[in-house]
Amino acid sequence: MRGTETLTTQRVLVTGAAGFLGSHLCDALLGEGHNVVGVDNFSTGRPVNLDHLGKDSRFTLIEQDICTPFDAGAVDYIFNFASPASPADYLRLGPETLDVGSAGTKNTLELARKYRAGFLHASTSECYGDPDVHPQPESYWGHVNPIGPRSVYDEAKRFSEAIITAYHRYYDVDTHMVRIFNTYGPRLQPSDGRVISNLMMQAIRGEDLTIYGDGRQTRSFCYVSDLIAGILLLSRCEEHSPVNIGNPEEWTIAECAQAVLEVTGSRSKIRHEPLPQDDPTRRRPDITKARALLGWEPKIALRQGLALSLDYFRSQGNS
Amino acid sequence: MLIISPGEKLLNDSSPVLVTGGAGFIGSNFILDWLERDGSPILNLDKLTYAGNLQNLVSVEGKPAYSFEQGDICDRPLVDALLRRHQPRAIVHFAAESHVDRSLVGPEAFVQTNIFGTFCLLEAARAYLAELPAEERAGFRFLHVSTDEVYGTLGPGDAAFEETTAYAPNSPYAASKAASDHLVRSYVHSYGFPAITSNCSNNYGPYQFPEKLLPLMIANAAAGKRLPVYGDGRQIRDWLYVGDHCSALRLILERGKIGETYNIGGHNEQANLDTVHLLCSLLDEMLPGSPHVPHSNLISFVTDRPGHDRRYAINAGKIERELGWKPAETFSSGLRRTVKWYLEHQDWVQQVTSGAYRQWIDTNYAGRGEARR
Repeated sequence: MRGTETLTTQRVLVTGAAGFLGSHLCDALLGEGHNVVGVDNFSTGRPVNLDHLGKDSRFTLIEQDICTPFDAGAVDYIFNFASPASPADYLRLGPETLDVGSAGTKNTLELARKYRAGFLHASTSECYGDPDVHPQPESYWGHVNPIGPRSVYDEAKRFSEAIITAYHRYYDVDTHMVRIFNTYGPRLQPSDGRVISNLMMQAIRGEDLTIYGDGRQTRSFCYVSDLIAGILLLSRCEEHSPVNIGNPEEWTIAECAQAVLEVTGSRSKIRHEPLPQDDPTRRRPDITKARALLGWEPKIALRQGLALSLDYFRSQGNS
Repeated sequence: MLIISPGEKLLNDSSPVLVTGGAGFIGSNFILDWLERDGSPILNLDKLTYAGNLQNLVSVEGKPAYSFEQGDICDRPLVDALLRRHQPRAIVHFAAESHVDRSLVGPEAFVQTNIFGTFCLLEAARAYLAELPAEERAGFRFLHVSTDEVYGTLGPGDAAFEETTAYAPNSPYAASKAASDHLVRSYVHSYGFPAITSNCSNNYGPYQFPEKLLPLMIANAAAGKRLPVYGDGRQIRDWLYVGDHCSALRLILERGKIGETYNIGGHNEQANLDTVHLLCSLLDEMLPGSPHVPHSNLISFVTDRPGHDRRYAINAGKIERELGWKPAETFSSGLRRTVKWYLEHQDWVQQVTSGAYRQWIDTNYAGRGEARR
């Protein structure tokens, strides 16, 4: 997917294809003219996210758990996006989350090695844990409790980064890693416990908006199209160490709830609940590296992105 | 969207599919499609006669899933060695002399390649299978790609060719393909050899050697040369877009029944003259500034080819019913794609007609076959 090659049709493998980000990535790759092979075991991915591709003969969907070695044939590029990703899911699927980050990543890397395919891994800002540096540049090593409840996700993703780096170093696999910060948009699971989906669904249903703690903890929120654009740029550059992609605009959860109320026109009230253990108090990407390396910049502001997602969340509210 | 459910084999294994004649028109389209859609390894054995052109495959050159061997299917020691070395799980046999006009002038090459070559391949494959473990033998397929010309010609009111239509080949080309079909059939019955035969109608699409009707007409029309139409131009051909042919072959390989034959056609019966007119109107549209608009002024009738079959039409009901295949292109959508491709790939036409690509082959492949052994 580098240089002039971007113009030729490639066979691209996307693991976690039925997930929120995986499905948007499939759309973007098909849109560029590539043939896409999607892999998902539907543990958290939803087939409905791919329903609109039913008529596209360039898309193949394989129901497969990547923790079992698999081979979908020769591919030119692999995007490894399989993993439970919302707290609700990875807390429910703890051991599975550790499996997919370790065995799953290794099996997928083996394909990249076998077919000399490019490899881009969806890593996460959770690698920084509950950071004591703010905002977080890629050079920050993180502050993670290895035995806390969230470690099933954080440490799985940190292990993935380690094995990917080893495959690059030892086997010369062309690897890339994106550390994804909070992302939202259509197809975000409505009940996954993430801030935007929680608040949007509560507002649409007219329920109280839940804020954990005092609401002064901050988050940054990136609209999905901005994220996918950044990922495609990263897949085509020569950078092998992790790159943050996210929207650096910082919102307190309380401000975010306010924006949700405005965009939805809801009259819901705010309800405070105790902060869960290990919930990071501040997280915001330092995107200096992505700006310099990729010339990338998020374009969609929070209120705009919420408005773009409104129809989707409404459709989920009715179902 | 193709959905592969759990338990279904993603890949039989890493053993390749051997494609003979993969540098030709249909073979190279098959390989390009295969590597994009299936991705499991392909070994291409091609003699590189005038109709074989490795430039068709330049985009897959160097991919780990693709390898090429220059050689003749009549060369039994070579075929034996290739089978033993690469352990293919299937053979898709395209290699053939295929131009009817050439078969009228020099039928010997047709008998040699199409009949003896197929025989040689069958014998080599039979010996190879005997050495395979039972499980791999059970999965092996030999797909023999043939033509609807074996059925002869049709009158205006006759029903289209079916798999059960009696063979009545009219040209040395058709006779040589008919003979090879019979050989394949006999291997199924005599030796339980796992072969399947497909008979397709007239293919068209990208990478077709410019001696065939459509590319010739496109090239001539674009250059303002006359468009030679045989006889009255009322000969009827049933056109099949090459990409649709490839999807049918993949399906047959995956799900076809051993010993069966499947007709493949695009439901596009067209008189040659109508085809040329349609082509001219597409060119008028795509080359609006050309001094040769309307291109139909370039049409000129020439003496008919001896023994020219009047009508071919194929009934593809069996493969649609039994394997669920359907062509994706209509004649007008496929023709539009084809004209567009040729107009955008004038350099390719230039190279294959000038013989410049032969030089390219010599410089690119000198000594390569040896080095890999």
